[in-house]
This record gives sequence, structure tokens and C-alpha cells, in this order.
Amino acid sequence: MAKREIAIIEDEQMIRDNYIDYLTRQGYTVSGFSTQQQALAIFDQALPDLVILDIGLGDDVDAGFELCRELRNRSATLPIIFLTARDSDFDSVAGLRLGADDYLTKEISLPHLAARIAALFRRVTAMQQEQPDNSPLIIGDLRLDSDRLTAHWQDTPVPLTVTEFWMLHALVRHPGHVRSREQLMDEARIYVDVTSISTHIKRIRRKFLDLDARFKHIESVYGAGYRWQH
Amino acid sequence: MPQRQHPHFFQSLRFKLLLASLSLLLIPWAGYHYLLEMESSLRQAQEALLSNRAEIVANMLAADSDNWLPETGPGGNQTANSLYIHPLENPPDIDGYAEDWLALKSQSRRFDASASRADAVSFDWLAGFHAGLLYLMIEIRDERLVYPRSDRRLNDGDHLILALPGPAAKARLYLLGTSAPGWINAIEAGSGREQSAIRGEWQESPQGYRVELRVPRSLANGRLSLAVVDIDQPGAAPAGIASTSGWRNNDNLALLVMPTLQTDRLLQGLDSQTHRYSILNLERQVIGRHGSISPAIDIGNNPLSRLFSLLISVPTASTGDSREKLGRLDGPEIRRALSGEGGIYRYQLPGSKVMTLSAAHPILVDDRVTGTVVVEQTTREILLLQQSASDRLLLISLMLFVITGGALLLFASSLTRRITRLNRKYHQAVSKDGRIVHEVSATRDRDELGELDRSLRAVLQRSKAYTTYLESMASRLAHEFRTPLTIVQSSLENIQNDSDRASASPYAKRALEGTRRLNLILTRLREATRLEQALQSAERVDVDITGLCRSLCSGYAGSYRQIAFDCQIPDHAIQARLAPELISQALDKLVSNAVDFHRPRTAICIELATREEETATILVRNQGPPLADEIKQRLFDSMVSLRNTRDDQPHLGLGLYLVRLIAEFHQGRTWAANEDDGVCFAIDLPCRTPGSKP
Repeated sequence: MAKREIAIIEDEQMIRDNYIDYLTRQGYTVSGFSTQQQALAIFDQALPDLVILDIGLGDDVDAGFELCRELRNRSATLPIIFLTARDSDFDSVAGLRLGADDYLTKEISLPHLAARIAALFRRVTAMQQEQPDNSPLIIGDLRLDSDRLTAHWQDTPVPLTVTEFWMLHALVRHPGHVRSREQLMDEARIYVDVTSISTHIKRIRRKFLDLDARFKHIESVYGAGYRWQH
Repeated sequence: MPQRQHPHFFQSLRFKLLLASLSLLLIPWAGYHYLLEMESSLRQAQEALLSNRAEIVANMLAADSDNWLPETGPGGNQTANSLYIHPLENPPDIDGYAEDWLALKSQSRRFDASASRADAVSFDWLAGFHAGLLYLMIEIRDERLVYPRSDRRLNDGDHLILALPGPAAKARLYLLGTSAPGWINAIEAGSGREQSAIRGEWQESPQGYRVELRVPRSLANGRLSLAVVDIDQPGAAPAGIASTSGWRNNDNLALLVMPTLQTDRLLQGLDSQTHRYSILNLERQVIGRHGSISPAIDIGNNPLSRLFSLLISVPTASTGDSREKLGRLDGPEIRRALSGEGGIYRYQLPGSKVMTLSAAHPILVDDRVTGTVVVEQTTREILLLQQSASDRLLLISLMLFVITGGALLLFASSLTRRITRLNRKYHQAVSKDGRIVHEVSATRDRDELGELDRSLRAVLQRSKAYTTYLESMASRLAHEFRTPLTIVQSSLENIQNDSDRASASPYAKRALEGTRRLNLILTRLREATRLEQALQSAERVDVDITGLCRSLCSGYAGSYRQIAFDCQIPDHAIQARLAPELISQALDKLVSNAVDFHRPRTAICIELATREEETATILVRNQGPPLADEIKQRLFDSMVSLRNTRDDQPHLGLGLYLVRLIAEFHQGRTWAANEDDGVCFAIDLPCRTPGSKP
């Protein structure tokens, strides 16, 4: 199988080089761009298999968003990860709305990033093969497919990011047990402050509520964490 | 809420402006002085007028002297013996008692005996006339009273001799006497006939005796003489004789001086309401009088006048005028007039501010002084004028004072109100610890206050910009640090990843641990900013706080297994509208704080209490070191930390600040206190207990 191609669009050269080095060692073909224009010039010829984007590029503070919108127009399935220093909820919501598969801040360690990339590729592969799930996790109306990183509620797909999927997965694996925020962070392989965990949980809840107004299985246990209420 | 202290009224702007308006009181003061000056100039004018009037009347009388001068009796050098007869308003009772004469008593004239003995007889003379009768009141001082044995032989005892003009230039003499106190007998000397027209009563008095007589004017015909004959031994020769004048011839008799019809007629045409005219002869006896100077005065009865009468004495009802009844006047101006020149003098009426002006002018007939005209007038007119002017002045000043004072008060009130509003606005805009709570909008007033408002607002905005800059500094710094930190971190991770082939470096591992901690610090630094952003979108729902607290308690018991939690939560539900996530986040901070500071093996107490049914307080207590007083207030500020223990967790002093932000988001507040054996941190939250309306 040919090497997967990853494109990194990041204006800080040293960071870009570090990412390229690391991911290259992981066995990917990595190309780096510092501006939106450079990247688009290459993407006109061929799209990579995965794109890692910074939001602010050079003087253009929102270049990453524009690029994401452009890429999503060209391909609905291309995995896109935002990797940025901007950690406000506003930015992450905006990024995910534009169709990014994940929104990560730069504290994330390279191994964690690599794990996400691998997971996303696994999902792409699983989707392409269209094989039945090997080991879906089914709890009530919820079905979690760890290979494809997909969740279904009453047979309707729930559009979760990788981070959100892993958090939900952590909750569902031990239904009825409280998962602390720290545990959820570990499982989702991110390191953020505690407030962001509740933001993530809120966002997951919202996505389920959009499908089913009566959904109340994710319970806040104040002072401890969250649990999947059966 | 900021505490506002209203200045005491006496320190307020209102009072100061009112005080300034007191300067208006200078108006009545100035007016009063003006009135005083006006009074003096009016008085001078009045004096001049009065002098003129006296002169005119005197000249008028002089020109008409032929008609009246002889009537008044002797003129010029013939005045040696004259007796003044007072006009009487009512005829006195002839009873020998002095009651009817009390008013004139002071004007009685004393006649002594020619002998120089100390116990010689003497008498006081008083005479009056009413209609066609003359009345005499004679008080005789006699140490020994001797009554004649018979009414027929009166010259045996004390008796009086009344001499009246008789035929052939000889005087007609009457002996007056009685054998016992009572009616007297009047017996004509010589003929022994009794004259019944002369009536009289004889009464004894402590000094001697008193005789009251009535004689028809026709008998006297302008001349009369009276002698008192003192007899000490019955039938003996007189011990002494006192008389008004000689009594043998008509010419010897004393001239009776009394106001005459002629002079009255002359004066009749003159104004009698405000002036009194007196004509005096050379003896300064009144031979004519007309007019009155004490008419009743209408005193204003309004309160204003009464108030004013306290300031300026006003002529009250007619005051006693001593000259009114005098038969003989005296005074510097009169003496001056008798010496040939006009004069004027001012008398103060007793017990009043009213003055009487008296102008005298000689009556010159053929360059000889034959009498004096005295014209008197009170200054009452002036005082009344002054009073009405004062009344109006006072009224105008009062109105001015009220209007100006009121206007100033209104103006001051409006100023004060605006200043108070300004004060309150900026007090409310800035919280107690100096943070700018909300934006203010400046007024559009164009005056200095509006200017002040705008500049205060500008200051506030600048301060807010600076505060925002400071507050966002940590956040921006964290953001800026992140990129180089990522470079370091990713480089180290590359090294580690590479070290599978190269030697595994422990330094790289330590450096990586360092970056992890740095990341943690940066994350914490951003936490406050993130929370502020979260607060903007936080939704509040109706929650039972007791349930929330119970859930939190059990949560903490699960999270900190080695620590005992003592939860005191009431049974009844307490409803409040809040964001449970945020409250739990705040309590997490307090509990984590308590855990860090609690004494090992003591319980951490979480208590929920309500106060006045509208405030729910969540308290977190732990036993441990107390808080220093000076830090207690600042504990909840940003970047204030008390920790001096070292552990691997970064402590930036943001935890309690976040608690405060959350409490304030719920319109609550935070506080900390030292307790007996530990400390207590609390969050006050508005709530509503069942029963009270939301």
C-alpha cells in the first residue's frame, strides 16, 4: 500500500519541520506549506490523504478557516485536523462547523497527534471497505464502531469528532460508572483545562439532543465527573 | 453595592447656597438706613415748614392785633398782676374737695403773705371757667383755724376777701367766710348785703382749709383779686394777709387771662387736624389755643406691620400730651420768641418715639413783642410714612428673599441631584475592588457638570482599556508562549522518538516533563479568560441547590477517598436559577483549596444555609492555618496566592478569582473568614425558598 500523504499547513517553520520529521518517521509522506496559496497551488493537482491546518497563517488570521471551507468543497471525505494555538470555544466551534474532523490545540503531544491521524486513516479505510462492524459496542440505542470511529443513535449516525468519539467511548465502556474529567482527557488523548471537558461533553450532548430531544444518558455527577446513565 | 454617604444638610451645597442668599438681607438693612436718612431730612423740612407757619400766623395775628389784643387783657407793662383762668371742659362740683381739679393741680400758683414769718398764711390758686361761670379753687395753708362766732361777723375769724371791679373805679369787696365748714357766706363789705351769686364751700384740709368758689363771669368782667386774711385770735387783728394783688381800686385788681373768643375766631381758619396753635402772652400764658396734635392713628393690623413695629417703634394711640392742658407754656423756643426771634424745639413724648416739634414766633406789633405764636406738630406723619415705606420695603425684601432663595434652592437641588446621580452612576460603574462593572453613557449637558461627566467617562474608559489590557496580558502572554513552547516540545518529542535508534537521553525526558508543566501553567493562565468567555454563553436553569450540593458532596467523597466530608444540607428544597456546571466548578475550587490546606485526618465540612429566605450560602470549612486579616479581602482577586508549600502543581492564585467570577455571574458574592479552628470560604447566592414568588 502506498504511503499515506499528509499535508501540513503551518506558518511557523520550526514547528512545521518538527511535525514533518515526526510524521515522516511514522511512515507518512508529509509535505509542508506556509501559506494558503502555496497549499492550494499543489492541491489543485492532487489532494493529500489528510490535512493538518493552522488557523492563522502569516498575516491572515482566518486563512485556516477559508482553506478548510475550500477543501471541504473539493472533498467531503478528506480528513481535516485543526492544530492551532487558539483554544477559545468560539474558534473550535467555528472550525468544527466548517467540517473539520478534529480541533486540537498545540499542547497535544506528537504521539497523541499521531494516534489521531492513525485513527482517522483507520476510519477512512473502514469506510472504504464497507465491511460490517467487527466488534460494535452496543448499549441500548447507541452503537459505537471503534474502527470507523462512528456512533449511531437509533441507527442514525451521530457526527462526532475523534476527540468526542473517544470521550463518549470512555463513558460508554463503563456504563453507570463515573468517569472523572482527567480520565476523559486521558482517553481522548488531549490535554486541556477542566472547563473544556464540560464544553466537550456539552457539545456531545447537543449532538444527541439534535437527534433525540429526550436524550439524557450522559449525566453530570457534580464534583466527580460524568457517567453514562443506562 | 458601593456605599454612598449623603453629606449632612449643613455641609450640603444646598445649605451653602442658602447661606449665600442670606446676603439678600442686606437689602432691608440698606433700606432701613435709607429710611432713617429720609426721616431726618423729612424732619428738617418739617421744621422749616413749621417755622414758616408759625411766622405766618404770628404776622397774621400781628396785623389783626387791634381786634384781639385788648380782649386778652393788659398788654405790655400792665402784666404784673394777671391770673390765668383755665378753660374747663366740665363744670366742677362746688363741694370744697379738690377731686375736680386734680388735672390742673400742678399748674396752681402760690401766693404768700407779705409778712416774712415762716408760719405766715399762704395759698395756692387755681381758676377755671366754663360757660359764664368762673371757678376758683383756693388751698389755704393756715396753722390755726379760727372760725367767726357768727356768720354776720366774718372778720372775727379766718376769711377771704374777693375784690371785683365796682363802680367809680373803686373795687367792690366781698368777705367770704363761714362759722363752720360748709357753705360759705359772701357778704359785701360796707353794705353787709349778702351776695347770693357767689357760691362756695369751705372744707378743712390737713394744711389748713380749702375753699371752692363759683363766681359769675359777668361780675368779674376780666378783673379779680383775692386775699386771704388769717386771724389767729378771735376778734384780734389779722395775723397775716396773702393776696393775688391789691384790691382797693379797679386798676389794682389782677387781670384775668383766659382764651378769648376773638383769638379763637382768628385761629379757626387754620388746619386743626395735625397742628396745634397756641397764642401766648408775655407771661407765656395761653390766651388762645386751636387744634390738636394727637389724632387717633390707624395702626396697620396686618402681621407684617406688627412684625415691623418690633423693629421700628410706631406711634400708638394718642400719647399723653403734657402741653395740651397747660395754661402756661415754657420752653427754649418760647423764651427765644419772647426775646424777639423765632425758635424751634423738639420734644420727645414720654414712652414713644414720636416727637413733638414746637415752633414759636413772636407777635410783633409796632416792633414790640406782644406775644408768641407756638405751632406744634408731631413727627407722627413722618413715622407713618416711614412705616408704610418700611412695610413695603420689608414686603419687597421678603418677596425677593423668598423668590431668590427659592430659585437658589431649586437650582442647588437640581445641581445636587445631578451631582448625586453622577456620583451614583460612577459608584455603580466601578465595583468595590476597582473593576469596571459596566459601561456608562455620558450626558449631553453642555455645562461644567456635563463636562465633568464626559471627562470622568473618558477616564473610566481609559482605565477600563488599561484593565482589559492587564487582564488579557496573561492570556496573550500564554498565547505568545505557546508557539515557542510547541517548538521545544515537538523538538524534544522528535528526539525521544529518534532515541529508539540513538541513546535514550534522560535529559530529553526531563525537558519534556518541563514543557508539560509549562503547558499546564499556560493552560491555567488562560483559564480565567476561558471562564469569562464561558460565562458569556452560560445558561442558567432552575435548580434545587440542595440536590446539587448533595450530589457534589457525594462526588467529592468519591474523588477524595482518603478525606472525610461532613455535609450539612437542609432537607427542604431551595430553588435558585443558576448554571450548575459553573457552581460545581466553583465548589471544586473551594474544596480543592480546603483539601490542600486542611489538617490531616480532619473532616472538610460543606454546609448549605439560607439567610432571610433569599440568600443561600454554600460554606466550605476546613481545619487548618488561619488567614491573615490583610489578605482576606484580596484572596478573591486575580493572581493572589497564599501558598508557600511547594508541589509539582503550578498555583497562580486564579482559583478563588474564578470562584468570585462565578459568584458574581450569579449576582452573588464570595467571602472568607477565620473560625475557631480553621477557615471558612463561602459563596452567597440569591435563591428563593418554596413559597416565595420568583
